[in-house]
Amino acid sequence: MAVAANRWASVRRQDATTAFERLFAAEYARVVAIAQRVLADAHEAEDAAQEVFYAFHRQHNADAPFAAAWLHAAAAHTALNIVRGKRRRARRETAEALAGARLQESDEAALDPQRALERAERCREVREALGRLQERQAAVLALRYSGLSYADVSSALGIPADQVGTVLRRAELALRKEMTVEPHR
Amino acid sequence: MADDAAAAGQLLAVPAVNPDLAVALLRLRYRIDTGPETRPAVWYERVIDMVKLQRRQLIRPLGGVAAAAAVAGALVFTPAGALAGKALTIFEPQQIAVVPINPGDLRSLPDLADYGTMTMGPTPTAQHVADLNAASAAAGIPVLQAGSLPAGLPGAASYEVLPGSSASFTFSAAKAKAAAAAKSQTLPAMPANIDGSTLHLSTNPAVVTVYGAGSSLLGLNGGSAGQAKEVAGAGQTSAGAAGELRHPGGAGTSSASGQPAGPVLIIGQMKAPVVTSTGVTVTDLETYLLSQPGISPQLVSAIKSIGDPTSTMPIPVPVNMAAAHPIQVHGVSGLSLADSTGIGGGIIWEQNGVIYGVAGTFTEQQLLAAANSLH
Repeated sequence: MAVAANRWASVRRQDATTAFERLFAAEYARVVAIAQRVLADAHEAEDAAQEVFYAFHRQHNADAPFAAAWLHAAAAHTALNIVRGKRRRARRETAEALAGARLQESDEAALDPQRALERAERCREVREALGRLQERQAAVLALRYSGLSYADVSSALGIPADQVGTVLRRAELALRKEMTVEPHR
Repeated sequence: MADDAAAAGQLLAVPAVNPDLAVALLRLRYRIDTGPETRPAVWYERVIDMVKLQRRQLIRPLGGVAAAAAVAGALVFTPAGALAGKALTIFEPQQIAVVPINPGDLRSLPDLADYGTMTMGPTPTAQHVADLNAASAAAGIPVLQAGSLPAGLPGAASYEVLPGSSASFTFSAAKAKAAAAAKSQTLPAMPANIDGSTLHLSTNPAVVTVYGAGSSLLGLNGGSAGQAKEVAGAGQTSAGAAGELRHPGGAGTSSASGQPAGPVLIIGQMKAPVVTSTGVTVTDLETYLLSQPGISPQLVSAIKSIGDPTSTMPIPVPVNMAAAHPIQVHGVSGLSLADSTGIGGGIIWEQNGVIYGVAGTFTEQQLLAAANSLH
């Protein structure tokens, strides 16, 4: 009976590994895209996605029906936390330095350094504006503009489906106001 | 509005990222296999995953009290709707009993949604109340207070009330058959007296008293409308147990590792939940559900050994995450649960129709002393 139980446990572990890999394959790119929407930095976006999946793996079953919704919401919130500096400030400064270094290496910078610099600064202002929004508004923007449907946004954030549009419109207005009122904060 | 949308679209435009999935998975696997241990999910948090009732958070496991109700409903009963005048009370626990569960048991449990249709009541929102009297008034039960606390805790407590909730579940043989066919499975036929029957689960308001760093651990204060800041899922509404990784965007993160910042004592109190049925008996349900695939013979045996299913609330305890043993508390038989991480444990008991739980980052002896001091 012990041998059978061990074999059964081994099969279950293999099933769990396969399920997690299926989930990863299905959702990783989307998670990165959501984080990228907030961070506008591919390296940071992948770092955030790694953290999200690592956290999910530690906490939940890959077959959970809420897996995709959890990952989507986690991607938005993890990225927003990075923007808001809830992580160590040095990490953000390092990321900014890296972004600056990458900017200098980009083709755009080589062709038009002034324009590249202005674009980078604008991008930074948008991220900071996102970070100043209410959490739910910022998350709705991150998810919706990453291509999630209203239904997916509802599932991820727990917002009733018939209210997602309203929250989204308010979020868009709030972001626009943040950028208009405090463009160079 | 269209201008705002257009502006937002422009502002949020970013270069596309095309990650290399193979490389990313290797990177993640390396971290999983070699990284430092973070705080694993406490047993009741993992168990809550099992009972996802189409909402990420329904009842926050506070000292195991609310988790016990949710899990009991999932293991033995499924929540369903009661029809006034026709509902029979089939479950009203008077005592609790532990059901040891192997990790594989949790993963292989069948999806309740395959067997019928769930209907949820409004998601309860935890409310902070000023004091013990307000908590008693809100919960409708005399709320007990600890007479003695473990050393190191502040004397002041915070009080949260989680309103009661309800859910209904109606069995459907046709749905079960279709779900089985989709998975190429053959299931035991659903008895005629179960097909179409409806169960209704009602949970009563729960009062949570928190001493120490627990208020940030739980993240019960504030939160989005209609949602308690509780765990079990991601998002702002997910409650704050440990760290940002655990509950991205959730409030009350205490440390990157997820450990509570300082000692925590949590006391939960709730009138026992009630399950009513339009006709099917507990015994019939237990017999049918335990015959489903995915439930190991060991788990079946463990559930059947708990005694009278109409009056005994099963407390599932994953054996790799916690250890449980009977303990005398307040003159009745309860359960002492010790988390396998060594962080702490909890004591759960039922008395006079109320389920109590005392949990925290203390030894069993300290928790028992606090539990016995409730008055």
